[in-house]
Amino acid sequence: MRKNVKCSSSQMIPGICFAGLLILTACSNSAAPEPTQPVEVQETQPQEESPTQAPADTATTTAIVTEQGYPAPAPDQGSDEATPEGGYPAPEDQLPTLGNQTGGYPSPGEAYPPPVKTELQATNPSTVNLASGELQLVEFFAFW
Amino acid sequence: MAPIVHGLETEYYHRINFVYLDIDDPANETFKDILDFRYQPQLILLDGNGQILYQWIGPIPREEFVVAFEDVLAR
Repeated sequence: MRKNVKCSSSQMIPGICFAGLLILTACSNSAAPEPTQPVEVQETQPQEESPTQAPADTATTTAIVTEQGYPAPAPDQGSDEATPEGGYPAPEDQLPTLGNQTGGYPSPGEAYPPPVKTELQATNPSTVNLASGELQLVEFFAFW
Repeated sequence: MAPIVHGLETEYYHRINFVYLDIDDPANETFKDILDFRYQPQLILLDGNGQILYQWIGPIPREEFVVAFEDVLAR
């Protein structure tokens, strides 16, 4: 025997609302914790892994995992301690250092050394001053 | 003489001024008279007042120039 059940629209509205409420509740429960609150995960390494490893009481590592799953830097790490354990140098370490570069550059006002001459080249007589105030080596020469 | 002197110029350029006067240039007659030029090559080392400190005539080994330069620079 089959019972014919009729539902009017006024009777269906509470049901739809209840179903929607269930869906919203389910969605809100599946969401992750707040992004600004990290979740701390502690991993303990097994003691029998390698005989050369450090003792197990010092091998406990702590990692802070953010919502996206990437490990965040430890909050007590200073930015001055440059090189992470991964082997990549910190960006400030990759910059060229500006220090005092002694040697290799002449001091201001000092002329560069003249190129080694292989041929005789006369000095312009109008520029010659025998009493110039500094030592001078005068060479009389001829092109022939 | 030229290669030796030029090599010395590279070494002493910042302490000694090197001057090369062509004896065939009429503009150098005055210098020839003042410095008592005789024949080339003739090299004269002058102090800041134009006084002759050393003078060489003819081919001179490099070491002799170096000794004279160091002596004058040490004064």
